[in-house]
Amino acid sequence: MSMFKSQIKFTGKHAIILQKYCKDKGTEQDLSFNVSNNSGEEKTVYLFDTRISCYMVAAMLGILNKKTAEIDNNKNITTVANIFAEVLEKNRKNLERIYHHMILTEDNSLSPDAKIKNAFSIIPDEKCDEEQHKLENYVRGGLEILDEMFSNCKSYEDICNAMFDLRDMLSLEEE
Amino acid sequence: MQIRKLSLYNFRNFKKCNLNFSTDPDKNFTIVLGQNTFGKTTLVKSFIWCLYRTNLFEDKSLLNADVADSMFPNNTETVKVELELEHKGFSYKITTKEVYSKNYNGNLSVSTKAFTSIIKIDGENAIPVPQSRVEEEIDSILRPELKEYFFFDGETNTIETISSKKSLTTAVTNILGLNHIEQIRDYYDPRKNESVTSYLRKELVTVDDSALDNLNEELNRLTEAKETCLRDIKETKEEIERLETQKQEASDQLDANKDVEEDQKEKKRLEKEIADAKEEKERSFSRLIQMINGSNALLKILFADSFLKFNLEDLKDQSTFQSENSYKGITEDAVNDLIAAGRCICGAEIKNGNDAYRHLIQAREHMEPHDYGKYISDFESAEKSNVYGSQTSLDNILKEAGRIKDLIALIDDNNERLKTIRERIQGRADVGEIQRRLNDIIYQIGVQTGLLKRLQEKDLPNYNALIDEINSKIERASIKNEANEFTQMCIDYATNIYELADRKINKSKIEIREKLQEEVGSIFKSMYHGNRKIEIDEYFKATPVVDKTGQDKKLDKSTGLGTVVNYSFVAGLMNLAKQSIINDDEMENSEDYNDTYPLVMDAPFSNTDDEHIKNICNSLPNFCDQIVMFVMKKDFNYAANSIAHKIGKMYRLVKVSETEANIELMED
Repeated sequence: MSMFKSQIKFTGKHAIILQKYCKDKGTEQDLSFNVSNNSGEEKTVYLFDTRISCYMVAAMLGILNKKTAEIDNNKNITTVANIFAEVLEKNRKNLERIYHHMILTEDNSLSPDAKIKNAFSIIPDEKCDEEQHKLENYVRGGLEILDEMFSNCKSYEDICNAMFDLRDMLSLEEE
Repeated sequence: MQIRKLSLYNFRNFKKCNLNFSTDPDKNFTIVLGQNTFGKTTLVKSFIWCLYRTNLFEDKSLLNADVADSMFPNNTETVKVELELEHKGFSYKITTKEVYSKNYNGNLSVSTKAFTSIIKIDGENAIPVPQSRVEEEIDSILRPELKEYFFFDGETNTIETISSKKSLTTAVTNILGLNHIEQIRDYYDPRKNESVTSYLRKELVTVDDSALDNLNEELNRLTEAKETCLRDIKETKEEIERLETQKQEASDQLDANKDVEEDQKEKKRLEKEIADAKEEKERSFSRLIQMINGSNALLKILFADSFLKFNLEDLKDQSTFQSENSYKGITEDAVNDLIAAGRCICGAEIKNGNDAYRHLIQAREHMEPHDYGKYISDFESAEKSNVYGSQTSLDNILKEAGRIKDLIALIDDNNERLKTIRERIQGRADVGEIQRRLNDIIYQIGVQTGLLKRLQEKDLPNYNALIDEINSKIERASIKNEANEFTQMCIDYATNIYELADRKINKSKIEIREKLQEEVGSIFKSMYHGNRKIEIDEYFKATPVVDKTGQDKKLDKSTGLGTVVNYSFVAGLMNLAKQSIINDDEMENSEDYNDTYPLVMDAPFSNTDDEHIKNICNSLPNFCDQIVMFVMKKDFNYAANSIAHKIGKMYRLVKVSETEANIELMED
């Protein structure tokens, strides 16, 4: 697959979201996810150690909820969040896996064979950008879901509740 | 003193004689007449021998010659003189004996030297005086140095004789009661080597004062240290008492706030629980985040959810790609290229019809774009296996989230309870603080008790022991020093006594001299028919001097004058003794108070003219309570008229032989 070979750049609110919930901010801007620890202290929470982790979770959240979002070109937001090519390369397997899920779960009239073929075939170069873009739409959508889940979290408890909300969103059953 | 009877037995020329003396105060003369050699002097000397065992005879043998001559060899004969007298309320029978024996050669010798025995009669009780006290008893009656004044030998005892005697001064002071004070003075005289004072001075020893000073300094230091220790003990006890009071107060406070104590305990428990819960919450939250991030757990959960949500496990079954022989990662185009190349990448020749060729042709049907079975199969397999793990991950995440929420709820709950408790105990005593204070007090009590124990059981006994040790050392050193101090004190005391006595004596001597001058002068004047007077010097020596011319020339004394002077002196002395010249409180009522004495005179009028005799006889009775005269008849005749009415008893000596004489009582 020729996807995930180039640096990915996020701008606008998606960049903010990406920076906010990740530890490796890669920016001097003070974008923090601060919550109360329910004991009167404010704590900075890093839901994700890396942007790529957040990216991938956001991609799946977008895919699962079929939510996409376009690039935010809000010029008022100067925040930029990059994910470098080498990071993408390191996480290629998961990224491809995400792609597979994206293709296999697309709601279209394609047959299972077609879906499978689309999912697992080598993407021609001319289609990579398009597919990449499609995936990143899901990522942006997923980032927005993520933000919806956590932006209103003011405390540890809220974060825990968000986890339970996530569980409610999912089809996985508790044992 | 009054003599009553003299008995002689084998004494000189008196074989057996008794002489009773007049004790009638109105007729106080006893006259014994006798010619020369009849034994008058013997009788006077017998008094001396009986009292003092002093043998004044030239021939020392006292045994009657006849008795001596009649002795057989080995025989013994006794010489005895017995004197009965009264003195200070007691009757005395003084007996002196001497035993003679004759050896085979006919030589007479004293076999038992003169010894005196005394019977002291007090009313009906006759008590023998112990032999060891005989001399003392006689001294108390009449001291030996006075015998020559009261047993007066007129022929030999001239005024010069008397006054020349060294003992005159002593005798006078003895008579007049100064002898005891003189004895005391002598006893304490620091100039005398044998005196108490000198003896005490010899007792002084050299003491090392510096060593003693050091010990005293050390003692002072230890005493101060001990005082400090005692003060510390006192203060520590007070401190313990104070702490005990505080302890009780705190305990009472605790008791009074028992309910608060429960709340305090609960508060503490809650605070701890909250603190622990907070810590656990932080840890738990960290774990939660770790779970989310670790191994892309959340991603895998989402993969699993997607697999399940979109029924992707059915996808394979729904597809035609069922072949288990499908290939993954290689396309039909790649195989065609190999066939066209005629050689496989493994090197095998690919030739139309060979196995490699046929195998490749066959395989082409099971790879892209014809067959994705392997892809989907692997995908399905992977996703399927992910599901279980993801479910576990999700459970763990949710459990952790739940735990956090529980902890938060617990903390909130406890905070609420804590708040309630705090409100309840607000304003009440802080029991915890009280307890802490109580614990501190108990600790302090322990410390003070330990200190007290150390002070009482170690420090104080140690100081006492050290002080005892130092005191012993000081005592040993001081024994000498204290002894010296005491000795010095005694020396000072003795010296004071000496000086007091000496002053008393000197003063008294002046008084005595003046009084004696007056008395003797007065008596002399009454006795003497000339124009002389008596001068008494500081040694009490009487010297006649001319009176009326004013020149006070000392004249040679005639013997008659000497006799008058003698009697005047003795009479004056006796008169003073009677008057108690020593008017001293110490002497008053003292048993040492000098009594009066009889005057026993032998040949009193020798070398004296008749006028003097008359005068003497007229004067003497005024000054003497008892007078015994041994006198020749011719001399007595001159005195007879003067003293006839005063004669109580009169005897005459009868010479039986040269070796025997008797005493006969003459009729009134």
